[in-house]
Amino acid sequence: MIYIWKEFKEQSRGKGLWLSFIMLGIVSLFLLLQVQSYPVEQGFTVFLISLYEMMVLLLPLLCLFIGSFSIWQEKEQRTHLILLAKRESYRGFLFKKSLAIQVVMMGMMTLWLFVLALPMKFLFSFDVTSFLAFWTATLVLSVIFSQMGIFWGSVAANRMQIVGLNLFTWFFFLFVIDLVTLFYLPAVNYENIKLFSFLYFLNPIHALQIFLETSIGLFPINHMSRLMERLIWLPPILFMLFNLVFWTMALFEGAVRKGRKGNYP
Amino acid sequence: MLKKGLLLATGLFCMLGSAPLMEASSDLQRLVEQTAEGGVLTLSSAAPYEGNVIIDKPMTLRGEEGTVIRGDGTGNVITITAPGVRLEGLHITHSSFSRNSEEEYAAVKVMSDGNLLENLTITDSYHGIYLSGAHHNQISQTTIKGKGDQEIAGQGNGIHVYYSNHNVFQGNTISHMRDGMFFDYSNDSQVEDNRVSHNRYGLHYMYSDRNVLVGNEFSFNVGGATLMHSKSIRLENNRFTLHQGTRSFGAMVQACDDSEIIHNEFFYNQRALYIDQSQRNRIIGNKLINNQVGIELWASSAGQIFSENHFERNTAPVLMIGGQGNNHWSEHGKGNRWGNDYPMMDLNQDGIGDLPVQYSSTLYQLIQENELVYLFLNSPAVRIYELLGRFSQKQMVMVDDPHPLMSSGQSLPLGWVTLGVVVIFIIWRRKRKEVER
Repeated sequence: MIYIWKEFKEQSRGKGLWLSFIMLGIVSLFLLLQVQSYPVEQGFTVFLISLYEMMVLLLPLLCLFIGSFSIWQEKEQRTHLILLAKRESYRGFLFKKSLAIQVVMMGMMTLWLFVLALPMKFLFSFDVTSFLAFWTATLVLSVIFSQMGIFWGSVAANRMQIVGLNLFTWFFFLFVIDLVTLFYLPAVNYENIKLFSFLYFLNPIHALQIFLETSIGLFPINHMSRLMERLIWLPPILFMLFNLVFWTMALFEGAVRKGRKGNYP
Repeated sequence: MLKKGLLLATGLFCMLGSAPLMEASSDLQRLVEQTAEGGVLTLSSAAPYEGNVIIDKPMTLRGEEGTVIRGDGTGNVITITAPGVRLEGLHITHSSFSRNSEEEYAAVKVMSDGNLLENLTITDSYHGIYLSGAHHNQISQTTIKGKGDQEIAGQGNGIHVYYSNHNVFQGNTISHMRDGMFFDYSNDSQVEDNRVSHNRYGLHYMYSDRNVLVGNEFSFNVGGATLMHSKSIRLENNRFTLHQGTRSFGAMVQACDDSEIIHNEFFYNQRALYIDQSQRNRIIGNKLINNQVGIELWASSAGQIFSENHFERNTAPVLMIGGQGNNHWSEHGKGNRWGNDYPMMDLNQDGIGDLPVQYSSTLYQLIQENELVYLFLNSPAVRIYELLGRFSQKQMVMVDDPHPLMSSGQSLPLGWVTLGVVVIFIIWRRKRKEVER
């Protein structure tokens, strides 16, 4: 609890978190104004999808920076020495620190999304299930990329390295993976689609997109081709949960083992 | 003793309670038979009436609000064999779902002409309404809801029209069926102002000519409207939204000739318009906005005319698959609006761009080879892929519009932007003053 409170105070005193949320807020309001021209029934889905597309572009970058610089600040300001005075192991410290960052980010995201839900409720035909699916997808996206930021904050040697690594990660997940896949796509067929499926859904952005689109009824999975049926061989929620567990655990363990521990015990 | 008494009383109460239901159930066919030709039979909403019922003379069967006719699950709930029958304000439910029988069952089967079906609610039935060799009927303000998530063959169509001409379908709401409306060898029908969602296809024409489809709304289906092996269809002022599976489309025109697709709106579809093996269709004045592919045009199609269509924010506005066909991108000197992605000059101010618009793409090749490419069309990587395609000589010209129309200027909501900036500035100033103090 102390970690969470400390994290919240640090984040709220710094400008990064507020600037990030102001940015998300402005873009969301623009989308809201734009989508108002749609019919009430479909406007809600269009808004959720547009908002999620925007989130996919911005949120990973924001989470990467917030996560990595939060860890870096502990190392740079040597505040860890106070925290570790009670014979805390590096694993324990990192676990509590990760938890604190995640709770603060999730709390802020939840607060913002529920504030945004108010105009949605009045302007569109609001569907609670779809909104909760959107909220879940956004939180999982935030958790995975915050943990990635924590990992880079742990292993990086200096600030410039953190900036470079964050930008590369964002570019890698949003552009490079899809670009490479597009070039190799003609080689994918019915026989090797399972392997492709595994690699495709290992990208959290893909897994979350399918989860969200199927949950809000946008992507029908009951009238698919045989190829697509083999691609989506698990319920989309399981692809999402697999990503959540795999990435958070792997990145946490990676940060514990590969992190620059400095004077930690 | 007391227990026995209570049991007896409860039994008697149940018997008394169910008596009117039994009476109503067994009486419906008799009530219909007792009604004079051209007479009106009004059913109360007190208890459900039990089908199945055959109406073999002109009459009106009218329900109070909440009147239910429940079939026995072995056939059609209501069968109309005489012309001039009116069904009004009824909830009809529980037809047979059997696929081993000689005929496919429906909540209402119409086998005669000149009937009116109005304000009906249909649930738990294989087909909703089935017109078989039935002409000049009108079906309006009816809600049909299926079970949805079954295999395709396990669910029938909302309205199934078979060898039936000159019918009118107006203001109906159909969802969770196989096809919302299915027309087989049925011509000259009017389909107006219906709302069709969450089906396999919203509307499906097979071998059905000269039908008119106006003011309908299709959303969340696998495909919006499927026009196949039909001629001279008119699709006007319809809206196709949110058809997003990898095989989804707003409207599909396949082996369909001499049709008009005019002033429709296509938003957020995987493909807005899919055209294959079709000749001489006119596609005029449609809005295609925020779709993955605006128009997917297969080389087997020729002679289409595209004019005054408005393309905006589509991942690919037009893709020609399988080679170039002989299609026309302008009519009477009027081309199409290509949106803000294609900046144009209009020095003589005649509303038509001074230079042709040419759109080239590499995506057509991927789409030809693999269905999975549709999973990537909303990825930001697609733009880079297209850029790289320019250098690899793989790009092909998809559209060459000689007379592109200038886009009407779209302005940002400046009032809101200014207000937002002012509010943020005031908050920032106050914070600064507080800190300075």
